[in-house]
Amino acid sequence: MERREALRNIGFGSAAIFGSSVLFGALQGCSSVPDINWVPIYFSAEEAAQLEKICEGICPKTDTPGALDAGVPSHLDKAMSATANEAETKLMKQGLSVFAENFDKNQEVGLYEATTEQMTSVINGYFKKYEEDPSTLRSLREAMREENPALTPELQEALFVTQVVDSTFWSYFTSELVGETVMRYDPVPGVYEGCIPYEAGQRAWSSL
Amino acid sequence: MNCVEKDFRKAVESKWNNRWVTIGRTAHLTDTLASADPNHPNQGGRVKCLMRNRCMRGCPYGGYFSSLSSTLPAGVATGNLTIQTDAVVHEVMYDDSTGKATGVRVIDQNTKESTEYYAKVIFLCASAIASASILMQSKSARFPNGMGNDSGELGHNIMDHHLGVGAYAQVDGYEDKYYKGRRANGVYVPRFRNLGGSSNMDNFVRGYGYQGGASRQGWGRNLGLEERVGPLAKEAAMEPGSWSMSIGGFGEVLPQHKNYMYLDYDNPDQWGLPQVRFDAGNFHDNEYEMRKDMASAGAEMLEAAGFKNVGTYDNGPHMGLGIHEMGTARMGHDPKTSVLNKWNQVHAVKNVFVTDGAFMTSAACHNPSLGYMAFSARAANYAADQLKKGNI
Repeated sequence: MERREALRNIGFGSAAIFGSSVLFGALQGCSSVPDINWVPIYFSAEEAAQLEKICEGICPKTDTPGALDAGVPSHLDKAMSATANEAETKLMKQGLSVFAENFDKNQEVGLYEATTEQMTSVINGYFKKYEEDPSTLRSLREAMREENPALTPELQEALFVTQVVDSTFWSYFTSELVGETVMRYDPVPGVYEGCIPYEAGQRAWSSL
Repeated sequence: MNCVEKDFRKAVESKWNNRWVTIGRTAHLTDTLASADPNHPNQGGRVKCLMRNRCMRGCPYGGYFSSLSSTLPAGVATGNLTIQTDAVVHEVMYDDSTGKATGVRVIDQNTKESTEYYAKVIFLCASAIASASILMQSKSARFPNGMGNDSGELGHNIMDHHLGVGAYAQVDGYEDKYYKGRRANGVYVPRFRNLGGSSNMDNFVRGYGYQGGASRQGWGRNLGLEERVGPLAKEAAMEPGSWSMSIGGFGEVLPQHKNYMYLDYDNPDQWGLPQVRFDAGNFHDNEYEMRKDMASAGAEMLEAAGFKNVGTYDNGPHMGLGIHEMGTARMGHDPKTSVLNKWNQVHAVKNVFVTDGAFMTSAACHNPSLGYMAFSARAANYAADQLKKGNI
């Protein structure tokens, strides 16, 4: 068995996290400077603009920073350019294109004009649909076991939606901005204390 | 250990008299070496563990053992060590008239220049696959199939640890408990099967240990919200989730001749050396039977602790996934069935020693590096003694 395939088989229950950790682990936390006006190297200018909308819809700015503040889209661009192979690139770009097409077709506003709230609601709609009909994600899982998966547009889109959500959260929470100023951050974590009190509402320890 | 792990330990150790839950051990210093012996030649290299959880990077602080922070500086301190970098050793040279090795052939990885180095004693410690590869490339009239390969076992019996099987559970409660800081390890459950008496199993020999731990789930968890993305999801992901615990087994792989490596001379690498190829993916029924027990015994311990939604997983064994490759030049009393003797010494070439995982005859179930180091120290001591006595 190919090592790559073997790795893919490790606990599909945690596949989403594992997938994004393999993909982005190498570049974890590289988006040191929030970088909104950026030049994409992996995505086209159009794809990058779509990605900005999508990422902000996933992690919108509230009284804490949003995905754009944390430089998520440019980080994903860099991460993908450094780690994605040809097949992964094709899947990612196909999925994004199907998503954008469907957005323009099915929503009252075009993707570029959509508000953050509208984007959030559209993405949540996908998960609601996947929950009501688990066969989509099941088929996706089956198909992704193949070495060169051939996906229908629906599955391309499902792969994109699940990956972009995982990747956005990953990039967001491992960014310097969120990791050091939003989450509980101790630059010198020191000795392990295994059993300390926790009060409801406290933030989790930073992943940095 | 954290509070959940401590309660897990209490439950397991009170239910079974031969199962223990302990914090795992790693080769990190819990105190400085210097205070132990003021005359120790390796005073400066290492400090005590700073709990930065950087072991996997080889520990830039020298708290966790690595040759760079420990044994190499100690060697340099003797004044007798020369380190030759960029040197690709590919062959041990052999003198038929003395029946001994005379040195090694080396290619500089940058200039591709070839050099020969001569020595009275040669230790191969290039890791199991590379050491076997060097011996296999060391062909002579006496050893047409590779140095020391009278038995035909060189490059065979590749083993690893089989893993990717275990159990997990949700842990209710402990919502007012958390943890802080870093640790070098998780919890460990040492082997408890086939140690005699009632621990003996009918369906497999040898055994396995578990590594694992409990923690609060992080931002990557299923938040259990209707809204998977957006402000609510983001804010919820900022707080620690509920507790969960999992333990994964690391089992012993038994040797089999048909798991082997060979040299591909038709597709040489950039130095003109043959590449190593493998046909080593076979497992015995013993490993498969053991895996069933690794899943179910793990689940019964999590259940004993009262945890919820206990589940098991088995992603199948994959040779190489444990990155504990070993067994390619196994030791044994009989030169007809083994490559090395009990001193890690090539049966037929007494001044060549192999001290990485190649010598292993079975895989055991624990992490192997410290064992290899102990064998290396023992072999080095023996070689020095034999050299003094004029035997090699």
